[in-house]
Amino acid sequence: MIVLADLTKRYGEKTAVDHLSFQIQPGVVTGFLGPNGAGKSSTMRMILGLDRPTAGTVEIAGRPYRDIAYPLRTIGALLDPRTGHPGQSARSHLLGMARSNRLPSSRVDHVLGAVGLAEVARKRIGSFSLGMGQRLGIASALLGDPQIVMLDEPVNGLDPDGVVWIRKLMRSLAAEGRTVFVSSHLMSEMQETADHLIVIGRGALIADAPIDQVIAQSTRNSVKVRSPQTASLREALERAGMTVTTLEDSELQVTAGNLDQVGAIAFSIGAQVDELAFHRPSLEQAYLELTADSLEYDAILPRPTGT
Amino acid sequence: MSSISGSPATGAKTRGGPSRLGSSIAFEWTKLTSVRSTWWNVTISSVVTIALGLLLGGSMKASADNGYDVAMPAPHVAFQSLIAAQFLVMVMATLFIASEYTSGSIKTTLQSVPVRARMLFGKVAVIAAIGLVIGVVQSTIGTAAIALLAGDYSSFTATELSLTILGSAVDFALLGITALGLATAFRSATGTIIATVGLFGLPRIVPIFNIEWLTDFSQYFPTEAGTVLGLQTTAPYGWSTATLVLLAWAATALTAGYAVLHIRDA
Repeated sequence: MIVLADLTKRYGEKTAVDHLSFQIQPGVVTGFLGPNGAGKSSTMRMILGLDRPTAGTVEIAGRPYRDIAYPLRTIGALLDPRTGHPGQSARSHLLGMARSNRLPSSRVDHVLGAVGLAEVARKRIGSFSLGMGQRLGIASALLGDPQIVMLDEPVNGLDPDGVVWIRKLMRSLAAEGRTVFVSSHLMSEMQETADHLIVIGRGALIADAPIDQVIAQSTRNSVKVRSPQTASLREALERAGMTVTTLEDSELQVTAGNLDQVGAIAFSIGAQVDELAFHRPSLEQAYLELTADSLEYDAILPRPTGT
Repeated sequence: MSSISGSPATGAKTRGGPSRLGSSIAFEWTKLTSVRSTWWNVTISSVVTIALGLLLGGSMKASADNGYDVAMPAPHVAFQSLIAAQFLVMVMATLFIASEYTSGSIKTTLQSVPVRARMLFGKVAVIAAIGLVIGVVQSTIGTAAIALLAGDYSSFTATELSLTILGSAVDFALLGITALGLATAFRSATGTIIATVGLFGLPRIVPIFNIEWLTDFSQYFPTEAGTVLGLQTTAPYGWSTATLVLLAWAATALTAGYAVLHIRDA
C-alpha cells in the first residue's frame, strides 16, 4: 500500500502537486490519470524519494522510501524507458541493481526471461529500441519481486503484443495481491486494465473511485428512447426534471434519469416505445468531462481577424 | 503470469552476505567495470604513460651521452610524466557520476540506494580503490619504461621507488575523489572537466602574474601537493602537509557534492 498525505510540491511560484492525499490499495490495479502537466510524474518521483516534497508525506508499506533498507524488494518502479547507462549491457545493468539490494543473480536471469529479453541480455542498452527499453524498465521493476509495482506509461513504445502482455502482467500482479499503480494517457487501455482510478488535474485530486463509479457519475450516462410521440414524451420527461435532447425525429436522449423512470413516464402518458436503451459513456468521455476545467495547456484559439 | 516470483528474491539473506554499505559498493563496482569507457580510459592512460616513459628515457640517455647532466631517479621522472594519467583518473571519476545524470540512470541508482550518503560513499570507495590501483600500476610501468632506455642515468633506490608508488597511489585516489565530489556538485561532465583543467593549469599560469599571495595560494593546489608526494620533495612543504592538502581538497569537494545531492531533487 502507498499512502500520500497532504503531499505538496512547489517549484518557485508554480504548484505542481497540491495537497494530494490518497491511498493505493493492494490487490487491484489503480490507474493514475491526468492531463499533461497535472503532476503525475512529480507525484511518482516523490513516492520514490527522488524529489523532496515541499510539504506532506508519502509512505510505502508504512515507511518513507528512503527508510527502506533494500527498497527494490518492496517497491519496483518504471519511470522512464531510459533506465541504465547506454554503455552497459541489459544484464550488467540488472546485476548491479541486484547487488545493490542483495538479490541473487538468478533473479536477473529470471526477469530477463520473463520480459522476453533473454536473447539480448548482453547487448548494450544504448542499442535498444524504445520497446526493448520499456521491457528492460519493467524487468528492473520486477527484479526484487516487490509487493508494490509502480509503472509510468508502461505501454509507451510497445507493439500490440507487448500491450496485451503488459495488461495481462498487471492483472496477474494484482490478482496475486500486489499493489499495482500505473499511469497512462491511453484511456481505452486503462478501461481494460484498471479497477480503481485516481484522477488529478493541476496537481489536485479530482477523483479517487472505482472505475465503474467514475463512469457512472458521468453526465454522459443517458437513456435513449425512440417513440412516434416524441413531442408529448419530451414534455412529460422534462416535467419530471430530466434533460432531454432530440436526436432525430423519433429519438430522444435523456440524461438525469434511468431506464425505469423513463419507461414509467412513457407508460403513464400512454406513449408507444419502440426502443429504450441505456448509453454508457467510455472512460475517455468520463475522463474528459472530469478534467475539462483543469487542462494545463488549453488550446489557444486564434484571435478573430476583423476586417 | 505469476512467473515473476519464479526464483526467490531474498535468497541472498541466508548467505549472510555484505552489509548495506557493502552492497552499494558492489553496485557501483559493477557499474564502473561493466562500462567499456572505463577500460578504454585505463588502456589509453597506460599507453600514454609507456610512450612518454620511453620518450623521456630515450631523451635522457641521448642528453647524458652528449655530456648534459640529466641524471634523475626513474620513479621521479615517471611521476612527472603521469599528468595525463592523473587527468584521466579525474575524467573517469567525473563521468562515473555525471554520465548518470546525462543518461537518466541516476534515477535507477537512487531507487536502488535511496540514502544519498550511502550512494555517494559507494562511489567514493570504488574510485578510491581504482585510483590506488591505477597509481601503483602507472608509476610502476612508467618507471620501467624510463629505466629501460635511460639505464644508469636513471638509477634509483628501492625506497625512492616505493615512496613514488605510494605517493602516486594516494595522489590518484584523492584526485579521483575530488573530481567525483565536484562532478556530484556540478552534475555535468563539461563543468567538472573545465574545473579540473583549472586545477591543473592555474598553478602553472599564476606565477606569470607575479602576485605573491596568489602564487603562495597556488602551491596548495592538488597537483602541487601531488608532486610533493610523487617526488618526495621537501618544498614548499613535506609529505604530511601534502597529504593533508589533498585530503582537504577531496573533503571539500565531497561536502559540496553531498550538499547538492541532499538539497536538490534527483
